Amino acid sequence: MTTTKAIIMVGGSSRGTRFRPLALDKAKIMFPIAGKPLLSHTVDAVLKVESIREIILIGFYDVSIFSEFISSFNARMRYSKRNCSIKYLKEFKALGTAGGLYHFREDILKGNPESFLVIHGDIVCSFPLNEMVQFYEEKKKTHQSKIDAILFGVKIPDYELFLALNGSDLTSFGTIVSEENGEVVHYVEKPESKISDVINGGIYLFNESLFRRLSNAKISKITIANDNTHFDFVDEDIISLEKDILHNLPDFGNTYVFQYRGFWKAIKTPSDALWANELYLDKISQGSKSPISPSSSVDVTNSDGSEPLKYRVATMDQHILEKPSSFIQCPVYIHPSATVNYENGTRIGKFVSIGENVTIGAGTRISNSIILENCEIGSNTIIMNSIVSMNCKIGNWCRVEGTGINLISINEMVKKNGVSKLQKLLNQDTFKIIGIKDSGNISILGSGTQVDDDRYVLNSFILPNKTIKHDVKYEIIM
Amino acid sequence: MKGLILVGGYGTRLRPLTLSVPKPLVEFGNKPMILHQIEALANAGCTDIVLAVNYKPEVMVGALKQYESIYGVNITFSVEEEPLGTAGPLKLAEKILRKDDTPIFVLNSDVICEYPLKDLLDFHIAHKAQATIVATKVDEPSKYGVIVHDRDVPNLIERFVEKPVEFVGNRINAGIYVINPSVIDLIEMRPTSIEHETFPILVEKQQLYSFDLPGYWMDVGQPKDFLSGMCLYLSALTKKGSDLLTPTTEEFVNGGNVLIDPSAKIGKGCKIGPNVVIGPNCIIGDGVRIQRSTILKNSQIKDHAWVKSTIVGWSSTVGKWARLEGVTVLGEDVTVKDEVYVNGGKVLPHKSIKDNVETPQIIM
Repeated sequence: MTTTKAIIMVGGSSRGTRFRPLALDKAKIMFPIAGKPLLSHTVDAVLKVESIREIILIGFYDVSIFSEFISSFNARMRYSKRNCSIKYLKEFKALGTAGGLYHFREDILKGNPESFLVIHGDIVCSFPLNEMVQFYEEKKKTHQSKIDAILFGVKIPDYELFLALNGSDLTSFGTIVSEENGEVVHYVEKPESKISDVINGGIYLFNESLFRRLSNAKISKITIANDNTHFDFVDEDIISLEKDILHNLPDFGNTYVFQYRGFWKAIKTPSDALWANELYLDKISQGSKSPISPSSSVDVTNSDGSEPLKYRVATMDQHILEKPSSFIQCPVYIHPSATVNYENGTRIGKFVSIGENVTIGAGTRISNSIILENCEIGSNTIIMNSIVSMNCKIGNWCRVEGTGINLISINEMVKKNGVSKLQKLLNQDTFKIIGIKDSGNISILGSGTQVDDDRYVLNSFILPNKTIKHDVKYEIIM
Repeated sequence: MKGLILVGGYGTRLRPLTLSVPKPLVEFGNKPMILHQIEALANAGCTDIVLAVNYKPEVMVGALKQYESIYGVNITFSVEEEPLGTAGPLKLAEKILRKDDTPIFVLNSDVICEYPLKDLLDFHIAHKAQATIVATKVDEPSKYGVIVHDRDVPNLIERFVEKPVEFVGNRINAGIYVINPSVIDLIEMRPTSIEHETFPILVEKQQLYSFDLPGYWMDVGQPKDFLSGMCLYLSALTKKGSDLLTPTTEEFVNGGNVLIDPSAKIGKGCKIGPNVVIGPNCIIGDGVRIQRSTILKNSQIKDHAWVKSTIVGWSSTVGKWARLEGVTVLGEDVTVKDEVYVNGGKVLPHKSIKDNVETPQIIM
């Protein structure tokens, strides 16, 4: 295969304000989900594509955010004898979704990659990247001419439900209209009406022809920016992949859509992170049931002649989930350094991730939540649908709760009552469903939060380093 | 000596509990409410006790029968065809109440206090008037009828001021009286009020004194006050050093004022109190936290549940990691599922609560 590079657009701290208050503690891209940073899930998916030799992270976070990640990545590659390097290229300012690609074109084109993947860092899905690359190869063969781009199209199984779940957010998706053979004939960013049930999934396969288009986009930006008769201020540095490139693609090039029908989510808010935790834990637990990891990685192992098991374990960085028992409802990830007191009927799960050095007291219940490192949780406490950031101290007999319901129950509800009931629920201010609106549906404790014994936190966001001495319901505590 | 207890109607204010059990039989401090009064009357030397009721539930007749022999009293039900107010029942039960010339105690059944009836009787006899009202001091007299005393004669009542706007005093009618049989002559056989019709006549004749009630007083006719009254009652038991209370040396007792029936089972690592009553045969799981609540008999509180300011009705079940608070009242045989939160829910009998109840409401 000829796809040798992957570019992951990681974003930056001045954006991602919707990820507050968690963004105050950790960069969104490094936020731990199902036991490892969001970025690791994407990187590990990329590593499954055997031909990838370089991963480039483009964003405008401080370099220090990635230093530890990059050094441990390199160590892993050395250990597993996988030939792949990683680097982070920092934009001098936020350059839009494609400005960074243009700015760092020389780095991307170094070594003449025939094609390369571009992935938005906040996408959560099962990443069938090998299939996407294969699709590109097949199209190249059958088409006998140059393919300009492959778009990753997410087929929405129930558009009505999708509409209901995402509400006003719907217009932030691009939609793709294609022929039967997958050729894209129309691309619309932020449509106001239903044009297609295939949306842009934020993953692309491009080749050098992209840079010709980026140059053209850049030139027209400069022209507009220098045009005194033009009314609006235009920043010539900013290029939008969606508006400036994809929108015009069907008219000028041969663009195909690779259709995907699995789980998919763009992580924007903390509730999305909880949703992603559920999806990834589910995915990992299903993956661990099959004795052999996905075929592509096995193939590579064999051709490399390295030890298959070592290769798989090391490069996939697959976490080992807890086994089911009377106190574990799978899937659950607990870091090996965490201490859980299993006396007195402690129960953890489903969909729980627990970080390093966390201690959990006897008789405590945790479901659908993420607990970050160094937290101390007392006895007989219950935590549900919540994210607890690092270094928190939660007392005995506390209740930290979000009303959020998981995907499965949403689907069941819709199946039983239709979409109308869901929409009715969404219209009620106090009843907010996980992953749909910005706040209120989950509880978040910022880092260093202290919750006194017996206290109740319901659907509230607590900013870092506060002490909770009274019950808090539907509040943001500054 | 004779006593009349004004029981009245269906006790709707104490629903959902009174949908299953007549109010006088609802246990307060692990004892039917009416038994607190029957016991006090028996201890003060009463041999005849009349319960003035608007309706006569058979269950109540049966339940109270056993106490006749225990306390050596005759208990008679005086059933009103139509509600006769607070004075009418005295006329209706005239035959029993006037069978001798000894004074008659009149008690309102919703009131909970220490019932110093002997002291009251001594006071009454010493003052040689026709009737004595028990007075209690309250913080906000403007909500009640306030007693105003004579300037010269101590304890002689000069007048009543209904819901005073200006401060005239803080003593109010506590709903406990002792009257001479002759007072019944002042009452006509019709619905009539002892406070508004009979007492003013006695005031006019300078025949009505008030006796200051020592200790606590509370009308426990509704759930919020039931719980407040429970706290006062338990504090009084602690003050007396009552051996009914669970000793604070027990590891699970927190802050004292805990009354647990010996047949109840308490799990490991619980923290119970202050101000908790747990009835017979209740099963409290491991790591349960209970404060300021009454758990009525045969109920089960499962592991790690958190219960505060709640009345758990008979044979109910509270699930693991459930949280109840805000004057929640579970009727008989209610189930609160695991992990559910209920705030101020009034739950009718035989219901199962599966979803959170975040704001106070009635669950039909």
